[in-house]
Amino acid sequence: MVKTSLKYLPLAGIIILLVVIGYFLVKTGYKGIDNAVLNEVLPDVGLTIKNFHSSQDDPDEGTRFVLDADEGTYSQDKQRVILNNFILKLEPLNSSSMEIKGNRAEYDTISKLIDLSGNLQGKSSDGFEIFTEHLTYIYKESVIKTDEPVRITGPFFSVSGKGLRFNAEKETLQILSDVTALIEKGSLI
Amino acid sequence: MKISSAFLIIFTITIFIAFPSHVLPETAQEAVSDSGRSGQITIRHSDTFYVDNKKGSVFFSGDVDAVFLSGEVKTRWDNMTVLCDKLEVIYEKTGETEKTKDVLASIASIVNIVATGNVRINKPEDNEYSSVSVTCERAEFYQTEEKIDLTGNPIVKYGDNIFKGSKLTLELETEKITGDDVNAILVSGENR
Repeated sequence: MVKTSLKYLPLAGIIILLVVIGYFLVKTGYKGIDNAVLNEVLPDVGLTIKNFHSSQDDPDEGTRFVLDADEGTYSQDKQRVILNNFILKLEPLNSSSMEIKGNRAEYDTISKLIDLSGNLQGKSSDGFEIFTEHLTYIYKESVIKTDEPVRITGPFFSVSGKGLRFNAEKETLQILSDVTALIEKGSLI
Repeated sequence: MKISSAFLIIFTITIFIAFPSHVLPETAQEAVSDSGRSGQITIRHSDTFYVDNKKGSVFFSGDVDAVFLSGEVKTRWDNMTVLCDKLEVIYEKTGETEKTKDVLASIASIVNIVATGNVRINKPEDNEYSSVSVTCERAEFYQTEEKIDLTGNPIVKYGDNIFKGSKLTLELETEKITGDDVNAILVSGENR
């Protein structure tokens, strides 16, 4: 009896494996490959571009920025673009530049609002770094903000807290609440 | 035995496929976890934080709770706590640069640190030294001169000795207290 049970163990393992695979296929909504796929495309999804690149350079409107991504998918009305694996470079005229990398960005081409999310890492040219999961860039105000937890490192400090307001033109940065920090090189002796 | 090993292998593979590991991004709190290094200031709490990089100022505002010289610096002033309404760190960029994580960063040096608003400085008694406690409205910490200037009705309690004045200066290295209009109540009870 035991021997018979042991004999079926590999088969049981394969069945478990197939069940797991089947679960994920169902979860992702796999529908097979046929012409009907075209009908499944969401009505507001339009053109997809590899190696997406966009820049804004009107000093009267806001800080110059360059937006690159592995892939950008436009909405049907071409107003919004969803980007994967993006790099956003902010280049103010008289201030340090800032480069932000992350997993996903939603770019509104009319309002120039950019919503950034997913493992965000920002670095300025003079040594400031920002780490958070979500940021919004408001082009017309040259402001980056979030209400999420955030960590900042600077030339001599590391600060954590919740909520961020960063002005690229003025080079000011504010963390709004629950601040803790470490100031290095702060020895008084 | 062989059959059970095969099952174990298949089961293990299944587990890894079904439950992929997710590397969580570093949380905001993980950056400030080690106050054991010497010569640092640990801000245990502040309501807000503000930096103006063009002016070279960093502000912590609202119920600021700081520990100066955190860690084992082996001085009389190790782990001195500072409570105040606002803490300002004034710095200047040295003009030098260093490469940190692929970024050429400006090196900055701290010019001085100013605590304002209901300032309370405490250093508890330990095996070697008596306690020190300070209350004032403003305390300026000078790194190069190794001193603290106290203004705004400063009172310094050095063990059982009490010092008051319009302005007091605490010299950290020599442990001297100097100032203007100093009124000292010493252990013997003699007023000076």
